[in-house]
Amino acid sequence: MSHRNLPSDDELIPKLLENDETAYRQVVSAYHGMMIYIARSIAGDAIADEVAQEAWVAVLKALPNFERRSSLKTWIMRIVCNTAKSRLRHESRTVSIEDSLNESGDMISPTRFDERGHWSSPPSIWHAETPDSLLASTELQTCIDRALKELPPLQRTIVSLRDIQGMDMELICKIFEVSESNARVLLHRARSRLREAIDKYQRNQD
Amino acid sequence: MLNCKDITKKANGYLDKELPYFTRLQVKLHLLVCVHCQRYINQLRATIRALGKLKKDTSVSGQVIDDIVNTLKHARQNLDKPEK
Ligand SMILES: [Zn+2]
Repeated sequence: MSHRNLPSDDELIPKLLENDETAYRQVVSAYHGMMIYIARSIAGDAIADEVAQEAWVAVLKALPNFERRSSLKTWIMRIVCNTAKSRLRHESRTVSIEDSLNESGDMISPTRFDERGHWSSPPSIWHAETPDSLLASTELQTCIDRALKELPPLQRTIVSLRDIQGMDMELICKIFEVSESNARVLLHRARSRLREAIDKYQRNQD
Repeated sequence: MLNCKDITKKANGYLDKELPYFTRLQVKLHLLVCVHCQRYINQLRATIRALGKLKKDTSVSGQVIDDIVNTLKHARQNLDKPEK
C-alpha cells in the first residue's frame, strides 16, 4: 500500500471534483488494492471486485457532498465497507452482519477453570510453537485460513487488517465506525478463536 | 492477586502493551509462577505473529487501474446526461 507520491487531500479533492483523470488514477492506484482486500474480507472472494467497483462509483457520486470530517482515505474505505456490508446483507439472508458484542464475552470456555479461576484444563503443549513453525506445515496454514473464514465478518476483517496487514487501530475504528474498546473486543475474540483453532489442530495430532 | 482466568482476559492487552503499569506488573508476577499461563500467552503471541507473516501485497496491476478509471469515466458521463 505505498502511495508516497499521492498528493494531499487539499490538492486532490478539487481535482477529483473537476474530473481530472490523473487525480482519479492516483487515488485508484493508491486505494483500490486495500478496497478489494476489505471487500473480500467482509463479503467474500466471489463479489469483492464488484463491490470495490461499486464503491468507486459511489465515491464519484458522493464526492460533491463530502464534508471532509475525515481524510479522503478513511471516507473511501468506509464507503467500500458499507457497500460490502449491504451486498452481504442482500446475498445471505442474515439479518445483521454486525457481530454481537454482547454474546458471552468469555474468550475461553469458563469450564476450563476451577472455582478459584485456576486452570482445571490447562492449555496443551504445542508441537509447533513458533510463528514460523506454525506456518511451516501446510495443514496448519489451511487450519488458520479456515478458522479465519469461519470468523464472523467484522471480527475477520478487523483481525486481518490489524494483525495481518498491520493497519493502525485508529484507522480501523474510523473505517468501521466502532469505538476503540469495541474494536478491541472483536480483535481479541478473533485472536482467541484462532489460537483455539490451532490448539485443536495440534491436540488432534497426538 | 490475579488468577489464571483473569490473565487470559488480560492476555491481549498485555501483548499489545496496552495495560496500565500496575496491571502489567501483576500479570508479570503471575507469569513468573504459572507455567500454564506462560504457555497460553506464548501461544497467543505465536498466533498473532504468525498472522503478521501472512501479510499480502495489496497492490493491483495497471490493467485493473485502467479498468476502474474507465468505469468511472463512463459513470460520470451518465451522471452528466440530463434526465429524460
Ligand atoms: Zn495462571
